[in-house]
Amino acid sequence: MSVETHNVTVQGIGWLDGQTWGTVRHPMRVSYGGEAGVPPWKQADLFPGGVKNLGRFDRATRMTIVACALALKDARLTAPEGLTGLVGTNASGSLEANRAYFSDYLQAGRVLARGNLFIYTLPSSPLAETAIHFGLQGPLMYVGVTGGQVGDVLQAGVDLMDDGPAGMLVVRADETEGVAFLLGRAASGDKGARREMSVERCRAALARVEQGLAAWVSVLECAEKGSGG
Amino acid sequence: MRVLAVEQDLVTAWGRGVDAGWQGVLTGLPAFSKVDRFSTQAFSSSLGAVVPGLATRTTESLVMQMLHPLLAPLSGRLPEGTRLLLATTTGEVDLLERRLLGESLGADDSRLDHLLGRIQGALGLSKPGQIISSACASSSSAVARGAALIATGAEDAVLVVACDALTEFVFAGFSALMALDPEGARPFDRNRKGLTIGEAAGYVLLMSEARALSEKRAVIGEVAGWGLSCDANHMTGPSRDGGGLLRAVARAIGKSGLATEDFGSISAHGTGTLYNDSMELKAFKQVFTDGPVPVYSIKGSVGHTMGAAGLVEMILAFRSLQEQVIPPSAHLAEVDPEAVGWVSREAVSGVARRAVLSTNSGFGGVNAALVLSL
Repeated sequence: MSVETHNVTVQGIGWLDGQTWGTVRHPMRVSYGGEAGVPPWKQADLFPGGVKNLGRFDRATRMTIVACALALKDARLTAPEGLTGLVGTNASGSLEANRAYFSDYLQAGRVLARGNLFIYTLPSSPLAETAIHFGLQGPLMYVGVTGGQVGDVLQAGVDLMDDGPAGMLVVRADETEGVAFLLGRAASGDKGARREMSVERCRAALARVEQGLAAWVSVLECAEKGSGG
Repeated sequence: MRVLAVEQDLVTAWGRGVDAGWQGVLTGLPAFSKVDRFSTQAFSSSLGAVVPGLATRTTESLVMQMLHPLLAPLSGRLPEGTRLLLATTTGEVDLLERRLLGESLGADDSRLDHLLGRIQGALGLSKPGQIISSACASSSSAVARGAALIATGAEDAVLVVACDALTEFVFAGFSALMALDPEGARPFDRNRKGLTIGEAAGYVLLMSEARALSEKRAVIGEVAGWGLSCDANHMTGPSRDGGGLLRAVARAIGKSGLATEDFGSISAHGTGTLYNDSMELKAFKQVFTDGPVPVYSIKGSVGHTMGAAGLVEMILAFRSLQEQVIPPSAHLAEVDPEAVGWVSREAVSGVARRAVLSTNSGFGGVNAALVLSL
């Protein structure tokens, strides 16, 4: 293959659910559930200029953009390179957005649909909003795999590196949770560099658990510590 | 590793088969009719490009009604280890419509992975398939992904299946966005006002050259280059300067190793919206700087078939190369001043040359470009 999997490294991993957000390569867990917590989309270090149209986003889009911001934070980047691409997955595509849009249309008497709901009825829409926010100009696609397994989509991200982008964000997000990985090209000959996490190690860790964000994060944290999970 | 197309078929509003689609497109006439699947009274257009004979109250979704006759002849005779890539935007969303309108259908029946499973089962494929969805560039993105998998040696046979149906769901949405031309789509026309929704399904079987040779396959054409990009600019409108599409085109041509003089025509996305058609011409003029290359759009003929558009256009572009005929831009009355010299309402014979550039763009600013050659 032109871009070998071992030439691509995982530079940052971010995740969130309805209660907690965190990063893996620079381990951090922050609780934001409850009245006192500050949700990650209101964290100034994640979104220094705010997020345009945040209130318009559906939940899947909000989860996608925050997971990607956390992956960048984990990689110690405030902004990705422009030619970074984005590939995403989940279990059910845009099913919830489809239901919301068409139910609203029926309730309105089947005469007038809402464009602002219609634009989220594509599985790629949360990715597109994320690309617009971060200025990601590389390849963008939704890759659906059975069960929305994130490990399989990591390989798609590696494959798309062959199309020339400087990096790829790989994200699995739905209405309740999200996890994102920033892939980049492996540094060569930098002895002082922090130990890099290979895509193989990441995939091997994920393969040990079937489903669920908590399980994925747990094995990734173990893999980062080098304990083998 | 060369990536070859060895088998293909489609269904459009012109009916079943590549011949029917090709002959229909060559007429330069629209295959548009008044949509009667649902009331269009409240919408800005009543026109659509519908596939004849589809039923709305059967056990099968619209896309499966289109796909079954196409895929049945493939069942059990696809090469061992074929990888399925399914390109679609809304898949079986008519099942969701019917459920929300009160029919007793399953809550998850319209999930895209369920459609993937149905197609996988119909074809008897064992290797896990993937859904590729990137708005109206879905099928050209799927072809790009399939070609990359073959070119890098990860796969040697990839079946790209594409489908999308004309539904009240999408019709109401595009109407709300004021994107429908009441008189029918007129790509590259001075007075264009938007698109006409169509529906289609099709497939192309891609193979490595080595496998195609070993199986003694007849070759339809080559996917010689591909490029993908995102404008990162706006959810529903393209970058006005065509810069995003330009990046995808430059990548595709660079990958193909062809020179601009090898291209005899450009199969444009050409939706008929003001901004899309203008953006595309700006991008093409930055690539083909030695003078106009014939540009055509088939969406004034078969409508905008959304996730299937790129595959339909690729299949007909291969036919264009084989016949050495450049199709007309259908339903074109008065060529936009920006398109003069580039777009024609007549078919042109004998100048198709070696390669066709095929482009698609979609919501969110996604762009895909394919270089197709013989």
